[in-house]
Amino acid sequence: MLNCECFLGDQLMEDDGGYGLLDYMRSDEEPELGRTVVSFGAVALLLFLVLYEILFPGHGLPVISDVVPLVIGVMDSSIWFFILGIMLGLFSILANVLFRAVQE
Amino acid sequence: MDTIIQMMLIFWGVLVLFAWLLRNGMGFVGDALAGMTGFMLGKALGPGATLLEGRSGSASSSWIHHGLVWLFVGASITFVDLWLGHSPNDLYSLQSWSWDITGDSAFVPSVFATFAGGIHMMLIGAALHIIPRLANHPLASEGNAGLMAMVTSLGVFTAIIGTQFGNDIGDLVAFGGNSLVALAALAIIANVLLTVREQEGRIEIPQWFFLFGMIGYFAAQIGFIVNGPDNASTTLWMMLMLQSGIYFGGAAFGLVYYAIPASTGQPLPSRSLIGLTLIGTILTVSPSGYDPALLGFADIALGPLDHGVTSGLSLATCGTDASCTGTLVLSTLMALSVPVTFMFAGNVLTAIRRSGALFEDTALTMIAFGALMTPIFAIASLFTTLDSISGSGELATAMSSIRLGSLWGSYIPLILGGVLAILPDITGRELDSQKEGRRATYFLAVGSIGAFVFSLVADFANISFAEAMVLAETEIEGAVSSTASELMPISSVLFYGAVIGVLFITQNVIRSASTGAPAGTLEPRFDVLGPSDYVLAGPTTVRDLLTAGLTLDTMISPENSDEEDDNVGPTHLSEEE
Repeated sequence: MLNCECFLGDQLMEDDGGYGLLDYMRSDEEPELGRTVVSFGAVALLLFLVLYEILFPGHGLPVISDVVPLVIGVMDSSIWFFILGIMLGLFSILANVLFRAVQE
Repeated sequence: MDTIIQMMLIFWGVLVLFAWLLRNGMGFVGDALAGMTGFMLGKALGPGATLLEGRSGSASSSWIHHGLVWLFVGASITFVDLWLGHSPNDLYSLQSWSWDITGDSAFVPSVFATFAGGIHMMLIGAALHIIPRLANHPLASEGNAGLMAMVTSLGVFTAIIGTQFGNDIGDLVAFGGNSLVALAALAIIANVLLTVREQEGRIEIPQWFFLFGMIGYFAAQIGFIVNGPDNASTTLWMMLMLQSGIYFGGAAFGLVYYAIPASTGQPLPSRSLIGLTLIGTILTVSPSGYDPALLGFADIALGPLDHGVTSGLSLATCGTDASCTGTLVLSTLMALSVPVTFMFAGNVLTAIRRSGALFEDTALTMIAFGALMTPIFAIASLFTTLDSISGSGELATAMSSIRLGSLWGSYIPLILGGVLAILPDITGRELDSQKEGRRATYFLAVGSIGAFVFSLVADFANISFAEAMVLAETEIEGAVSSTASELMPISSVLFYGAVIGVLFITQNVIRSASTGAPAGTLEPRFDVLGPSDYVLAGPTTVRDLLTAGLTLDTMISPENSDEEDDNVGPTHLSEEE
């Protein structure tokens, strides 16, 4: 049984009651909060879509289902998704350049 | 005299004359010309000359940054072109904006953006750094060179816009854009020659590569013009092959030969091989530049010149359009270019292996990838071009795939890697993230080679399909094999990896201007035999360490041990406290 004041690096650890569990529960590589929220949001969105399909089978999503047909005539090929990525890349380069210019 | 031999003699003659003038000068005429050129580059521009600060290295940095952005644009348009190759009407909705981008209408802009924008601008950026550095003399006019980067970008943009009109006015606009690029290139050549003129020692080999590349590009055009429109069915393609070999290939070799010793601090293994590469690049003809699809580009680039080549016509064949003596000479010169690429690749790969930087340093990893692929694509290009010269035309369908592979799998990694290796010396900043850079390299490598392989397989499926139609005595115009129609979308999607790779590299370089570590502060993390440092992420065995390539002299440190807030250090469990 471990009955002591334990140190992890410079930090004083509390007595864990003798099983050493806290040593393992104290993670050193916490993910970033933003990434955690985005991952949680993605899972929640997926769950919501599944739940919606179960509760209202065959019904389109409110608002979104009304907007999508507007762009169907334009974006009827998957190349548009790639072009969207290219545009995001181009704008990210422009944003980087502008940000660096303003920063200096 | 035979057209092919005449073309080669003019090309070599111009280069020899240039080399002689460069070594011996032109006496008082040279002084007068130098004074006038210096005036044209500076004061004659009026307020334009004072637009830029003219800080040392700013012009080189500007050209390289412009080049990187254009390379991303070129990769993106090439992706669209590949996609439209199997689904020509997927962007038909843009016709509602009067923008007809169907079929092969994205091909010519992709050539302008990739060659005139991306590769050309990066090579000039590298030349503006390497030539003055080896001359031990500042660039004759830094402000003018920086200004020319803007002029070139404007020219490329104008050319791309012009190609989208699809009429004579659009072609004229595109020709105007291309002329701006040529004008800026002439100003850069004058600038560089004025710099070399002040050099006291002998001209170094990387400098020769760049100088011959720049002059050779125009020497090939002179050969084409002198031979006249009657011989254009031969000389047009020879001009493209010579330009591809001496400028895009030769200058890339010079850049890499400079970049590796500058980056690793170790000399290249064989000096004689370097010299032989230079001689070989001048004396041989690179088969990589040949693709009949480039006719659309040549039509616009040469503008008002009546070159007499019509669509569908390819390199003149032996016995029918050209004499067999000339064709034999051309074939031999093309075949001789393959050993040159082997010499280059062997020298470069040995140097990188000795440095221990492979898979550690982004620039050297990218160069190694390009160097490895160079001889492979040289042989592949030789097959397709010789097939065209012989008149059999069996491999005509595969020509575009080989050109795509040799461009994105060989030349561009070489140039990108070379530029990344010398950038810290130019900007004073290291690359922002080596890890991201390596990831981008893998994206580019997998994307370009994957696209090439699938595209090539699709081409061969089409060749077999065409042969089957001949056997069955049927002809369906525009028909493609079902296997090819399934493989071509995979090829274009894989090429998107190259687009992402170039995007990551570009972002990394732009970020490094402010967040990159000051150049020279990072110790090399690689040695001759293996990594000099190794970060230990967790418990491991000695066997695993040895498997990772560690040596007895490798310094092992725990992860994050260099940070002030160290929370992964040794855990102390003390019963006494």
